[in-house]
Amino acid sequence: MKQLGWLRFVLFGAIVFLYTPIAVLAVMSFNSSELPFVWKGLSAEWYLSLASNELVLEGLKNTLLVAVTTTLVATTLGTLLAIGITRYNKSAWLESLALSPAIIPDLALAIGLLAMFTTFAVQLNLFTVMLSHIVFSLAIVAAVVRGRLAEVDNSLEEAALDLGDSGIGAFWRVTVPSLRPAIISGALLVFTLSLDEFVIAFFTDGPSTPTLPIVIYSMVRFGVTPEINALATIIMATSFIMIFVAQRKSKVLESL
Amino acid sequence: MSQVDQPLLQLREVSKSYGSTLAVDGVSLEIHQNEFFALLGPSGCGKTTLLRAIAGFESIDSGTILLDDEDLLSVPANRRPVNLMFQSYALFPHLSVYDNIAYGLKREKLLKSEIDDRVGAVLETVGMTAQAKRRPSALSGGQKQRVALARAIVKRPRLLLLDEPLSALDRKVRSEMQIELKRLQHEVGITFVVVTHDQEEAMSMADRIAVMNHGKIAQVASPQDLYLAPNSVFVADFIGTSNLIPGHVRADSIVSADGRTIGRNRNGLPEGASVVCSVRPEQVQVVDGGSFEGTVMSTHFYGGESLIVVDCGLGIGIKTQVHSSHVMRPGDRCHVSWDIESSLVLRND
Repeated sequence: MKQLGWLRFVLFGAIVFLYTPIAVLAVMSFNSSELPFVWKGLSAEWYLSLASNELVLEGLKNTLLVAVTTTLVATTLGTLLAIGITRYNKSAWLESLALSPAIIPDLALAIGLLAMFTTFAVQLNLFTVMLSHIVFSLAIVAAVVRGRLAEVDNSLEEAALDLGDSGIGAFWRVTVPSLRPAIISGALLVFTLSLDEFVIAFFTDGPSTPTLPIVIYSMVRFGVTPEINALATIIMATSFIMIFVAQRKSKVLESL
Repeated sequence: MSQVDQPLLQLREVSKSYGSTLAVDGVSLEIHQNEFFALLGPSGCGKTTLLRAIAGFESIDSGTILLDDEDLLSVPANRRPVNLMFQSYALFPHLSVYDNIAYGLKREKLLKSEIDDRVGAVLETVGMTAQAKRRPSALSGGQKQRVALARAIVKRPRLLLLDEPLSALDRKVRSEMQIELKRLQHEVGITFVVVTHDQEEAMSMADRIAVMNHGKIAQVASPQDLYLAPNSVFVADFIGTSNLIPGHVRADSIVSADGRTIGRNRNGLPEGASVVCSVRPEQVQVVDGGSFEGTVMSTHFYGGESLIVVDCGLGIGIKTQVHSSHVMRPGDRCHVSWDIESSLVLRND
């Protein structure tokens, strides 16, 4: 291992810069003051009041519905897409086309989706949010799984057939298990992204079914309350844990 | 059971092309029960395509493949009584050594007790009993190879195909595994077909070798016959080390470009025909008063023996094998000779 030397100060500086806002947020969420950024005393009252906030609970329910559906559909289709573009396709062009929704700017994607739904006169509701989230999530899962496929020996399926298995048997008993770490981390990653996605949901959601980020946005418009600090802390902790697990499962952040 | 001289595997006029390149060009072969057979050739000669066609992972354009006199081509890969040991071993990374080996038996829906017995026995055969619970990632290269071999032979195939079985191993392990493979083949009594580009590997293990070049069979023979009686310049050059001296026919002799006699025309080749005389280095002696005088160009030390290259003006440097106690240096003058009456004459085409 090389010595960091004076660079260690740069490292500490970067870490402080990155995590100070998060630390402030987490500490302030336990503040008993009505004013969000004036410290008065330690209290968990804002977490309790969240639990009885109808608007927040409704938003959470909608968000979980979108995130779970998106994760299930995008993980299935994204895995198949990854297998398709690596094993049965030689065109680099088609490959970029399949993966680009993962990096298209949110705003561009959101405007495009809204234009499409409007053109076809589709009623905006949670279903259109799900469809929209699936678009980018699919590409993200495909990117993660493709990274793993490149490492896996591509004669594994042939070996399973050679040992007397059927094509479907080889897929379930060999292909899927050998990709399992990537599939799990891809799923955790898109669940996290869908959970706190704002821009696309804001454009494609109907007015009667706001997701949690939209609820937070409308609350913030009337000023930041300590309740929002508590909510943001919960969301962040959830995302952090999921990404941490995904990263341990496979090096998910490197495959993007 | 097949009769004594009934071949186990027959290939008749098998051809396969990719686009405009002919990968396999009208290959016919017969492989017998309990034989250790090698398909040997440089990379791109079509040997792997042929092996994959027998396993069922490659279709062929024309020709037939028969196993025990029955058409193999109409049987899909997963029902052929043939197993393939992949070059990369293709061990399932998510399964233990035991489960890797049991995979094929489970697909046959055998009783658990029988699977246990057969996996246990084959683990014993390859000496991997202690590693049964490990994952492939925790094994060394040689151990992975043993597991891949065990997984293939536990199915008791009529024919075991091995694709470059030793290429992923380092030199020392490779020579151990050569002996090991030969022993195993004898012990389990399964016909082995090995694909390799390494002539030493083929020569040391196989009973018979088919040398392939540009999709065609150049020669099929025992290792001894391939070495002593190659039928073409390609085989003489590919197998072992050879002095391939260019010349042409003059009456009943073969003469070099400058008119010196280097061999005899025993096969009645026409006057003036372009030929090559093939002489193995160990057939060439360095002797005072030998027929060809020359200058030592380079010396190569190989333990007990050394290889010396002598320029005698014959168009190529003559390689000769001498005892290492015979000290020679580049620039020394010396005489070499070989038995001209017995030098092997091959048509140059």
